[in-house]
Amino acid sequence: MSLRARLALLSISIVGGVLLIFGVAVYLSVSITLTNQVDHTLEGAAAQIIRNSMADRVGVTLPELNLFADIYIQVWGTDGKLASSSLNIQGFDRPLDTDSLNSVKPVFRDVVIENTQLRVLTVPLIIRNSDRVIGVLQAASSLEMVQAIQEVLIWVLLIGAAISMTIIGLASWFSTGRALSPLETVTQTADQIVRADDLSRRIPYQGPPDEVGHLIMAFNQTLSRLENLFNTQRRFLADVGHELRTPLTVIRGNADLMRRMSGGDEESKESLDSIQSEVDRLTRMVGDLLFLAQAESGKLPLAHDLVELDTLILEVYNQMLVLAKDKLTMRVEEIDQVQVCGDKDRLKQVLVNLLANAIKYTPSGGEVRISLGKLEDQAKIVVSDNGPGIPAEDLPHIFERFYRGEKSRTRSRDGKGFGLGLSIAYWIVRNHGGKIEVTSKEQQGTSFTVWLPLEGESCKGKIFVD
Amino acid sequence: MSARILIIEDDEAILKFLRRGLAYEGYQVDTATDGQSGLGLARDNPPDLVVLDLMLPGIDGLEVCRRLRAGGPVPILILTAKDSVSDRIQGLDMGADDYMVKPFNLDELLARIRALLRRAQPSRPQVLRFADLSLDTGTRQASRGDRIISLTAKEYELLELFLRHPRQVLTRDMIFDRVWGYDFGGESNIIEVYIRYLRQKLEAENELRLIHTVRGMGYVLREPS
Repeated sequence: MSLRARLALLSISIVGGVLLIFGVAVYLSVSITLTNQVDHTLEGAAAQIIRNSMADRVGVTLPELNLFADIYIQVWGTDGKLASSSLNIQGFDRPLDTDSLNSVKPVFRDVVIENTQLRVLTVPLIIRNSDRVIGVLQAASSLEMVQAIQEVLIWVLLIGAAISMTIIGLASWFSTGRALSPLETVTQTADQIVRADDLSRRIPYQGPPDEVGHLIMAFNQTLSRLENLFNTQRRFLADVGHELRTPLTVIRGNADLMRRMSGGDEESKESLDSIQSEVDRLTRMVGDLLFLAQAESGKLPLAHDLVELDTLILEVYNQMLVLAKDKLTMRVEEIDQVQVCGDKDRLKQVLVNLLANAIKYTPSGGEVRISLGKLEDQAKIVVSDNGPGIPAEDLPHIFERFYRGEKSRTRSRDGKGFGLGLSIAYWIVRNHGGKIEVTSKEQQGTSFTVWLPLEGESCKGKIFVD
Repeated sequence: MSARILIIEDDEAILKFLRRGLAYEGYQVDTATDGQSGLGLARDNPPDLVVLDLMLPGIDGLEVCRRLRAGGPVPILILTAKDSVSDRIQGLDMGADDYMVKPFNLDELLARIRALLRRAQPSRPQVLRFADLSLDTGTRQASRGDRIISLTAKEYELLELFLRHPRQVLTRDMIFDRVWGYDFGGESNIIEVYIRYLRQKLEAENELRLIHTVRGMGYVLREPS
């Protein structure tokens, strides 16, 4: 349940509880007061009758009983016979209150007669200055009025309670809604920041510096700090990357130079190959690092040029031969002339990463195959190997950043990679409007398929930014 | 006379191996470590090609590129440590002809230098002809009779190779070396693919076949028998 609903419910129950106590108190006090009033009237009537009656040895002489229009009066003899009764209950010959007939003290009781609630006062008639009971006087008054008042009171209280609880509930619902609405904005903005990977955003807030205001301020400060941290890290990565490129260029260039100058000396050729493949690996890592540093900021523009995929594949193949040379065979299978629109260097990075990955995880003597074709309006690049395959439980995760299957890590002798290559390939392909798929069978091999939309109209010189 | 190449690069180590590598290939090499002296050298001793690093002290590479371009049509190849697209585009916009991202492969650099020098050769646009097929090296457009045929970059290079060596059998190795720029060790059907596309384009209206397969040897451009 939401905080808002909980708060509304809480105020409703508090108000409900208070109203219940209050209502019961009102009801009880009104009822008691009304009953007392009736009792008082009955007592007065009884006293008046007794005062006016005369009793002697022979009997009782009763005064006029019809003094009160709304009070019923009966006088019973000790023999249990009705001695007299007021006119308004003429013909009713049962006692008004049978149980109290023999009472020696005045008694009030509620009695129901013919569906009418009556308040009955029973007073024994005692001869003055003696203890002799000569009869019983019963005076009764209808409680209809009291009941009607009680009924109205109950309705008033119930309806009042219902109305106030509704009002309180709505008021609390809307007021908490208002108070919490900045929080809603905070949540949405935070969501957007996460989704867009954009730490430069802040949560706008113009309200008073209350609790919510403080929260938003603190949140924005956290964002600033995170942004700073990220920027520093990104700058650092970029600087390191650029700094590393110069020495790599020198090593790479000198190795190339030695290869050209040394002629066919097998021994030095092997060393040069080794230097070259390691430099290539470092270069790939630096490239990946720089790529990440840029992609993290969400500001990685992609060129939009005509790219001849077949030429690119042969270029990459040629470059990767050194890496594969003594370990496994690498073959370009079917290849077609295919042109797409995109960033040549980034697409090259995809191919290099896929091939480097295949070469790394395929054991010696294995085979890596590359093919390029067209299917409808899509270019299809397949890089497959006959390596150990990727366990099914790892397959859904291999494009996630930094993910590398536990097993493959221990299996690979030189598992020094960054585990970034595939996620970078994924990012690049996706931002070219394509997709990358993987199928793998354990012990049989893995096959990556890259789909890219074929070259469309007007593909030149544009830059698209993710 | 061998081509004169000017290298403007502020890192001594890179400069040194570039100078050695280019000299080994037989080029005359001038070097400068900043933009100012580079521009001076280019003025005093006009080079046939400039290899230019983008990050230079003093006048930065883009500005040097712009001024070189203003001075004449010398081919410019940019070296950059940044591989961000905006840098590359900026460089090309400033008049550079090609770029390479550090660290680069020396073979590839040499290949691109050769290509740039070839393109810059004073050879005026030329129309190569064979039978009813002609190829304009200026517009890079082919035509057969009156029919204009547009070619992709690689198709053009392949057709140019055939037209420059008519009636001569071209082996796969030779084609790879001339069109793709390196010795292609693996087995691939890439040449067959391009020959197929070329034939499709050249014979789109049922014209006679000009590019013939020589079984076990390669391909040849000759008149239909």
